[in-house]
Amino acid sequence: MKPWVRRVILAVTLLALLLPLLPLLLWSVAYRWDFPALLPQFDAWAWGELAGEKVRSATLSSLGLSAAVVLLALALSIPPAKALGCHSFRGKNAIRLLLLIPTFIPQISVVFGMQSVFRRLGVYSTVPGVILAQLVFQVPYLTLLLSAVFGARVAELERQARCLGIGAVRTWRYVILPAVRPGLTVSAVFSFIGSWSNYLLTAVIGPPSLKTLPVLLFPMMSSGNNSYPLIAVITLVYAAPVFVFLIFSSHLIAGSGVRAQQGGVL
Amino acid sequence: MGKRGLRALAFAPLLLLMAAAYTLPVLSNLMKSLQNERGEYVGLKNYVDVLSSYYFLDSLRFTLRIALVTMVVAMVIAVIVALALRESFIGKKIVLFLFQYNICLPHIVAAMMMIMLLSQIGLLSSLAYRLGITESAKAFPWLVRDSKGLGITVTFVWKYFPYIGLSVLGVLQGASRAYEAQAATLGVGKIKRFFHVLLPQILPATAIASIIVFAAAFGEYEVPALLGASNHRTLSVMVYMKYCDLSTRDLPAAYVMMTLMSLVLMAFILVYYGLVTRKRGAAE
Amino acid sequence: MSILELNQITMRYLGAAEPCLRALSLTVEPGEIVTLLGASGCGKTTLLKVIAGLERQSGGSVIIDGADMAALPPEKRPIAMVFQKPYLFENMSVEQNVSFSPRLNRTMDRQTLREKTREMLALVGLEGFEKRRVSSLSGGQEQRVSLARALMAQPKLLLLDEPLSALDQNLKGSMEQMVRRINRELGTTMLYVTHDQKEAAAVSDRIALMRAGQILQIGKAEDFYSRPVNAYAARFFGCGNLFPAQKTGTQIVCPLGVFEMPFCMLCDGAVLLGVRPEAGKDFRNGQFRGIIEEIVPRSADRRAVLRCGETALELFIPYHIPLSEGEELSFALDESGVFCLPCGDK
Repeated sequence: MKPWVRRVILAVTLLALLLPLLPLLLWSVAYRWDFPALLPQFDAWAWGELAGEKVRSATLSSLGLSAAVVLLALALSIPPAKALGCHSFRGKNAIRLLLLIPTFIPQISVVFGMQSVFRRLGVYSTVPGVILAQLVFQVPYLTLLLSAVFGARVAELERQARCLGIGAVRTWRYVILPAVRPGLTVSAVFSFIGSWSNYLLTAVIGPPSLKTLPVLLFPMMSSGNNSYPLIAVITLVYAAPVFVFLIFSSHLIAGSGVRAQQGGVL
Repeated sequence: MGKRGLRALAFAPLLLLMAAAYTLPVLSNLMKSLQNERGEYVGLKNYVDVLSSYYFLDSLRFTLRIALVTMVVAMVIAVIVALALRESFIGKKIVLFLFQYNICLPHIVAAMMMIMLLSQIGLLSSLAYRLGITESAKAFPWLVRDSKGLGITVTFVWKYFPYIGLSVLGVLQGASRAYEAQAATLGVGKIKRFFHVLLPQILPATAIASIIVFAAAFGEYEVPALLGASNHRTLSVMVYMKYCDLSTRDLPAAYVMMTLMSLVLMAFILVYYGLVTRKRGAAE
Repeated sequence: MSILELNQITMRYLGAAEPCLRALSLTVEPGEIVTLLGASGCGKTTLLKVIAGLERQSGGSVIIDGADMAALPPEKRPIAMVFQKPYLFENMSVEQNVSFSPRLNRTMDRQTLREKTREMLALVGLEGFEKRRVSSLSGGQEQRVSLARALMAQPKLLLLDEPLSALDQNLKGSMEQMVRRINRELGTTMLYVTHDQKEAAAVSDRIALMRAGQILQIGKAEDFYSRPVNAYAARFFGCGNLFPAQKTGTQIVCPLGVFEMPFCMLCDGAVLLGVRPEAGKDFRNGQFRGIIEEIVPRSADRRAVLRCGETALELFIPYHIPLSEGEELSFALDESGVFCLPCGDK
């Protein structure tokens, strides 16, 4: 590919990736922005609204919920991931196939069924219910992702440690976990982002008192007559943690994430 | 406890979770789809009603078209960008980072960005007016809440092409170069190398990533809900309307559609699984 | 006219302290197999890549069959290359791989293509493998397909970059013979690269020993045996017996003894005397004497270290000569295995 063609493609790609960010940023410091002005009338009034009760509690709810989901998701997916990755047994492929299902079946086709089942189980319209709902879409995918990390190498390390007489708990703590730490970090990041981005499950299954940021934002966005500056500001606050997480783990994701995709998360 | 027992224990919480929070809801939907509003069993009547209705078929066609166009366009863009990216040094890290960021961005954020950018009173429209390309706000193409689903498609493509791109890039940065060098030393020119050596190498990874993109675009709710028109809805939005919105409520139809969506996507899982096992088999 | 002519090839990578290739010149005649032999890092693979067109040299010219290859990409040069890894195209069958070059370049019609492919597969010992999938082949079979594929491109010069180094030891022998057989039957000129001197000896007409980007010595295998050009060459070919000596006229004097070497071209003064470990003969019946210090068994003989005065001499002694550590053994040395070298340049 000729160098100038390459450079043009890259420039266009960069532009395309960054351009949609521009109006969002501009609206966040706007007072009014009418067609056909290229820039709005500036006023950072919307940022003052951030101190308000609604946004603060929504942010805290989102953080709390996502943190809980990440911890539980990892706890639930590490044992099966290790079993899947380190050992060979019959039915392995069947289990892998089974775990793929929640990745493919969309939330919308399951969430209302969840509503009635959870009602029977008594967890509908509760926070544990939301956590449960989010976990079911996360744990299978995380298990598959992590099973790629728990490869033959980890099995070998474990075997050696046990041969040296190291007990199960200490093997986990000093041998296995450090070996899979990069993969765990990536999974934790993906899990957090998955939970953070979730709107449908939280809105349908969660109690009315649980207003996470997406639950707060979605009605504002869909009503169409709400003030864009406010929406823009809250959206930026909502998008920021993702950005921060990625900066810190980008190098890890580039390695293991792409490898997992190469293997098709299988 | 024996090894097998221990292993079963490792899977137990996961399987229990899936059974309670996933399998049961799916089965519940299925059961309810075979009943009428009063809860009486009516067999496949609801299915017949829905499958023969205009609105469903239209919505299905609409959703499939969006998913298909998204997949194809995202695939082409991803391959081109990946090919450009693999040889570059400057800006590569930034683009890679932005790729990851795009993929991880929450859907509603992406949707909002697109609304602000693409609406008839949005930034691009203002720019077009200023450059003299359009004469008024209304002359700018209808991209948000349009009946052709363009806004939805653009948002999907923008959000998903990096996913395919990363997948393809992974292959390109692997052994691919060595194979191309080999082909060159066998006297095969650049263009032929591209079609006969490079493309077959990236095809498996591209196909796998593209299937995931198709499934995602097919089943998504948030983006079509925010960017779609009220006269032309995707299946996901339809389901929501039929279930939640009091004015359009039709519970049996909603259950039928939920079950149908699940079935269609389960078929995709099999395709995906087939592709991945074939790829792994070829690699071994 | 020679098939390959290298004139003063220099190669320096950007930012490298030392050049990778230094003013290297070489000629290869039609039908020859010439091997570039050397330790890793000596530049042999880089040189091959320069000839192939995969790298561009910093200076000097590559002339293949009379045509200057300057700035020509690999696909336009009359070469074909076999790499250390076979790089077979996994989406194609064996037949499709082998016929890759003429098939894509449309240089043969369907019928000829099929016949030639069959012939080529027979030549590498893989008759009937046409429809096999590439993934079902063993390492040795894969390399043979790679070789057949390269030959089908009908190159004037075939380049082979350590093609056998990834294979099992026992497989190498038959593969080496195959390479020689192909060269005899097809007359293809080959430039071979390896770090294994046994492989080089088995395969080549001439060997070019490389070190630090230059050709140290070029000649037949016997030349390296009897007349290595310096201590490095001697050691590379398995001669560890190098003793400081003094040359006066035709006599070489060293602690081991006095040797008559009328053909030694070196100046009088300090030299090195080299003794091949295979040069021992007339055991228990020779003019030299030594105490056996160490016996290490090998596959066909033993490696014994004898102490002759202050010198430690390594000899290969056949199994039919009984030995025990500590005893004194007398022996003679065959003059074909004794040579003198300039001092320095270890």
